[in-house]
Amino acid sequence: MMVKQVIGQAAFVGFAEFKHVYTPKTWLTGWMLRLVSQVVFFGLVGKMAGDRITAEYVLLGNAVTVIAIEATLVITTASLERYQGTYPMLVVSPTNMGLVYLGRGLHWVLAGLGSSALVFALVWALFRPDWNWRVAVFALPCLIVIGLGAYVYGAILAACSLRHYKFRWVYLNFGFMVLMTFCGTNVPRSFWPAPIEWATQVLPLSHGLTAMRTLAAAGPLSDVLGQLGLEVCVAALWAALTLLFFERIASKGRRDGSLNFTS
Amino acid sequence: MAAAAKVQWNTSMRAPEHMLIVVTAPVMSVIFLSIVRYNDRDDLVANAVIGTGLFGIWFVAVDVAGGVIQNERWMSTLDLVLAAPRAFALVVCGRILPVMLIGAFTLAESWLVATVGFGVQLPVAHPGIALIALIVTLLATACTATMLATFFVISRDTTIYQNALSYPFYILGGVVFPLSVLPDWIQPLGRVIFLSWSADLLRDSLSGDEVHDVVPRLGAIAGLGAIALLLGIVLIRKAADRARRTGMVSLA
Repeated sequence: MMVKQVIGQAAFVGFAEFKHVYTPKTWLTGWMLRLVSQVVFFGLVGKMAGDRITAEYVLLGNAVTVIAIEATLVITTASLERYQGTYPMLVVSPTNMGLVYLGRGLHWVLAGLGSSALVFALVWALFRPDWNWRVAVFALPCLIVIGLGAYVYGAILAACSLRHYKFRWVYLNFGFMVLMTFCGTNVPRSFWPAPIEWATQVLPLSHGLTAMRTLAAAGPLSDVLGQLGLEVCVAALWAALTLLFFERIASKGRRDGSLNFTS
Repeated sequence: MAAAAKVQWNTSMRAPEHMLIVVTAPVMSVIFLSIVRYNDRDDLVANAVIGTGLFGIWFVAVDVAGGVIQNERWMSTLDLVLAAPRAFALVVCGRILPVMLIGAFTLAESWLVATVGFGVQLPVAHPGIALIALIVTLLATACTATMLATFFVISRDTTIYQNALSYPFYILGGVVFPLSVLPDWIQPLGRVIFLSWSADLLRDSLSGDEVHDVVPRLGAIAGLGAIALLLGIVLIRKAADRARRTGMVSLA
């Protein structure tokens, strides 16, 4: 099968599956309530620690981070395959298992896009931050790039969780919390020691969030495009690692038959 | 309750997912402390440390309350547990109680992150009050999570409600910031959530100032916890009766 077909078919399965994850009621009263209150919570922490500018900084960071959190939920999709007992079939199929996973959880990016945009709109309406109008106009393309970057990062964590199945929730939560902590969500990346700041250059969210902040501060569009370009490069790097890592895990699984029985 | 507690302790010690908060709490602590430190507000370090601890305690309680019911449902043993002649709420409460120790551990982790990672001094000025406040808070958390388990009995997917029962409580409970940060109209609502009393008392016990009204404040935490447990017993019984009547115990 062509690469496009593999990713397309995998994405199709994911979208079909997603219809059964939430009902509109549980999405609104469960997931959205959590996301909105999470962003408001951190905004209030910012308000307590600093001034209005700090609170707005934290609110923007957390509203954008929502898509990164939701995109990493691809890890739960990998767990689902384990429950369904479909790993052996993926392992014997004549394509890279990583390629399947680059499409299999794309519905989380779309869901994250909706959640993040809605949270963004609600926060803007509730707190009336002093953000430039351009951030609203260009939010969607920025969020898509950030979402895809976080998604491929999540895919490699999904691969790790295949080897350590019982730790899947640890991979998920630790994975997105690392982004939330170091990539500029609550404090600028320059706050961290130099090695950590350097490492954030190759983590998803960092450059995309900088682009969003530049838009909110009415900064030059060339800077925004430059940061988005870097975010795309970071996503490509993680996608390549995902393909390599999944192939390695699948090879080992074929060799020792352990893939469906790891703990 | 003792048998339920033993089952849960043995289960949790063998399940890495129950230790999730032990891994994530230090990271959460780093987030709070970075916001405080970046804004040169070292006077708020206690808020960050206590906040992470209460965050962890509440997370573990809701996680286990939901997990108990979801796992019993997956294993098809929920029907048997509900048919047993003991109040199901007491079983749930008994299972939450031992894992409160994991929640309390996050407070120690957070203190370590602050002192070792961020190099701040955080002496506990009133250790006796802090210890009693912590114990009463752990008990009240277990009781309140038992009441919330009602949602999980009637819900098909507990994860959705576990998510919804986290951050709204952190906001209304003022776990990191005092309730005065919230709009005036919502502050009275925060006062019926025991976490707001716990957070205030624990923060005060760390400061060098004299702590006022210790007994009434402890009474508020314990009282709210006791009311929650009583409500939990009644509500879970009603939810279980409804589930039995409609045949939806395993198929909510």
